[in-house]
Amino acid sequence: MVKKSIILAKLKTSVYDLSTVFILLAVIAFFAVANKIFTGYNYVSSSNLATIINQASFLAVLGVAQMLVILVGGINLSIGSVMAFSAILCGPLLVESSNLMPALGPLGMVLIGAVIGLLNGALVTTLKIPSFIATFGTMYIFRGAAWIIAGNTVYFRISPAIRFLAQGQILSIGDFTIGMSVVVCIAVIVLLTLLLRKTTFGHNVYFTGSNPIAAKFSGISVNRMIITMFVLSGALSGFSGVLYTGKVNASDASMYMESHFDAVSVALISGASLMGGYGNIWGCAIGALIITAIKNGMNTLQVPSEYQTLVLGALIILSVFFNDKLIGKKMGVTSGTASDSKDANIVAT
Amino acid sequence: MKRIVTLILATALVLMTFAGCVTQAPPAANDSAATESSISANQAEGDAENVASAPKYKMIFIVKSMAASFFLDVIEGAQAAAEDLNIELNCVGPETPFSVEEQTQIIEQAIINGVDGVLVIPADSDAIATAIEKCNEANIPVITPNTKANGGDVVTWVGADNVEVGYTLGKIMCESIGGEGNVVLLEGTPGNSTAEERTEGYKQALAEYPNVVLLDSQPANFEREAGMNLMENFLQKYPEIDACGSGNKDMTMGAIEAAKNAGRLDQIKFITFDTDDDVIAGIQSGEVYATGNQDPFSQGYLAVISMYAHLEGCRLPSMMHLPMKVIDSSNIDEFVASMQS
Repeated sequence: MVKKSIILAKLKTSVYDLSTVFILLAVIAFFAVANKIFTGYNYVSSSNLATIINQASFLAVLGVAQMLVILVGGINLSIGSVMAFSAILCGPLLVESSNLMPALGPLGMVLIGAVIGLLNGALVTTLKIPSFIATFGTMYIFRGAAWIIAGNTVYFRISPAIRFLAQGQILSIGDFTIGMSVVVCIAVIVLLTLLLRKTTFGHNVYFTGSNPIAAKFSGISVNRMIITMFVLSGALSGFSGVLYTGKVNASDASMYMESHFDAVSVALISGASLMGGYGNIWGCAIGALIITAIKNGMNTLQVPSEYQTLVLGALIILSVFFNDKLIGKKMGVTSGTASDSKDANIVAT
Repeated sequence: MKRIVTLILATALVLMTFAGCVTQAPPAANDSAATESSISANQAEGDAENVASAPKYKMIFIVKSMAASFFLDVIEGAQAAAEDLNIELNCVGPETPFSVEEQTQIIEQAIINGVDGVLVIPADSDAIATAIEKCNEANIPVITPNTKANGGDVVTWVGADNVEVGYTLGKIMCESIGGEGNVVLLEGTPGNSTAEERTEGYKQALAEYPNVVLLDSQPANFEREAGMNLMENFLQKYPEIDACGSGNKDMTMGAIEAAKNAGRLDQIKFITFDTDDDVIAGIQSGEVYATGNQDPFSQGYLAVISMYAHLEGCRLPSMMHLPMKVIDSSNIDEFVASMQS
C-alpha cells in the first residue's frame, strides 16, 4: 500500500521534472502547424531541426554558466562582458595567423573568466554586495575595459582548431547535420550534472542554495561555496566565449552585449528557482532549445522581431509562474507520502 | 575600520563603472592639460607669447554609440581636427548604445558646464529636438554630423544620406546578379533611423528591378552573431538565394560565416556597408562583393572644422553632402593604400 503511493509520487515528480520537455514539444507542435498553414514550410524537416539544435547548443552553455550561480541563490550579469573581455585580451592568440598553439587562446579565455569569477565571488562574500549589484558593476567594468583596450580592433580569421570546436560537422544523416558544438555542450552538461548530483560537493551546492543558514551550521563554508560557483560560472563564460568566437569567426569589443539576458532567460525557462537550491543542468539544454525553437519558428513565419521580444518576455513570465507552482506541488507530493525521512530523500531528487 | 575600507572599495568600484562612458578622450584632454601646465609655467616667467596656445574653443562631440567601430572612427577624425585647430574637444557617447535620453542628458550637462559648440549624432532624429532647442536658447550652435535632426536650429549637417547609401548598394546588388534572382536583406535595429533609411534605399532600388525577388527582410540589430543566426534561418528556409544586402558589415560578416557552413558561400553575393579590416580582407578574398564607405574620419573632421568656421563668423550651407564611395575588387588596392597614407 505504501509502495504504491511512493511509486505514484515518483511518477508525479518525474512528470513535474519533465514539464520543460512538454513545453518544448508544445512549442514545436505549434510552429510545425503554424508554418504549414501560413507559409507551407516544413518546420520539422531534419535540416531545420538540426539548425535549431546546433544554434541552441551555444545558448545552452551560456545558460549553464548562469545556472551554476543561480543554484546558490545568486545571479551573474557579467557573463557577456567576460566573454567579450577575454576574447579581446586573447584576440592575438585566437587568430589563424598566430604561430602559437591554438589551445593557448581558449585556455587564456577560460582562465580570465575564472579570475573575474573570483572577483565576483569576493565582492559578494567579503564586501557583502548582493550578487545582482556586484555582477552589474563588473559587467560595466569589463565591458568598458574591453572597449578601452580594443577600440575598434576586430580580430578575425580565427584559428581552424577553434572554429572546428564550434562549427566542425560531426555527424551527417541525410540533411541532419550535428555540429561539434552539440558534442561539447552535451559533454559540459554531463560533466556538471555528474558533479552536482553524484558528489558531496554537488549535494552541498544544492544544500547551500536552498538553505544557507542550515548549511552554515552543518559545517559547509558557505562563502567558499559561493566563490567556487562564481569561479566555475566565470570559467564557463570564458569557454562560452571560445565557442561563440569560433562560431562567428571574429571577436571585437562590442559583442555579447545581451548575453546575460539570454543566459538568465535560459536558466529561468529551464525551471531553476531564483531563490537557489533548485534546478537541473540538463534543464538548460531544454530551455535553450525552447528559446531557439521559438526564434526560428517566428523567423520562418516572418514575424517582426518586436513580436519575438514580446513572446520571449511572456514566455519567461509563464515559465517562472508555471515552475513555481510545480515546485510547490512537488514539495506537496513529498511531504504527503514520506512516512520517514528516507522516503523523502528518494522522491526529493 | 572595516566599514571605512568597505566604503572606499565600494566607491572605487562605482567610480570604475564610469570608465565605460568616455573613451579615447585622453589625447585631447592631455593636450589641454599640457597646454595649461605650460601656460602656468610660463606665466611665472611672464612670457605673454605662450598664452596664445590655450585652446580657443571648447566643444563637445556626442556620438550615437561607442560600441560601433564606425563612430570610433568618426571620433578619431574629430580629434584630429581638434588637434589641428587647437580646440578643446570632449568626445563622448551614451553608455547604452543608441540612447537618445542619455544624449539629451549629456547635452544638458554640457550647457551647464559651458561649451562653445555642440556636435551631436542624434540617436533619434525626432527626440533629439528638445535638446537642440535647449542649446538654441543658450545660444550654443549645434552641428549634426551623420544623422539629421528633425527639429531645432542646426547650423549644418555633414554626412552621407543613408537612403542614398541603401539605394546605391541596392542597385549594385541587383546588377551583380544580372538583374534577376532572389535576394534577402539584413536590416539594422528596428526603430534606428540609419537602419530604416538604408532599408528604404535598398527597397527603392529593388522596385526598379522587377525580375529580382525580395524573399525576406528582417532585422539583425547590426550585430554579427544575430546576422549569422538570421542567415542560417534564411539558408534553411530558402533553397535559392543569389544575393544578400545588409545595413552594415557586422551583420554581413556573420552571414558570410553562415553561408560558409552551409557550403553556399560562392552562390551568394554579399553587399554591405562600412570598411573595417575584416571587410577589406573579405573583399580581397572575394567573400564580400562590394561595400560602401562613408569615410567616418572625414565626417568627424569636417564637422569640427565647420563648427570652428561658424564660431569664427563664416557662413555654412545647411547640408554638406559627403559622397559615398563604393569599394569592390576593382578599387580595393588603391583604397587600402590610401588608408595607410
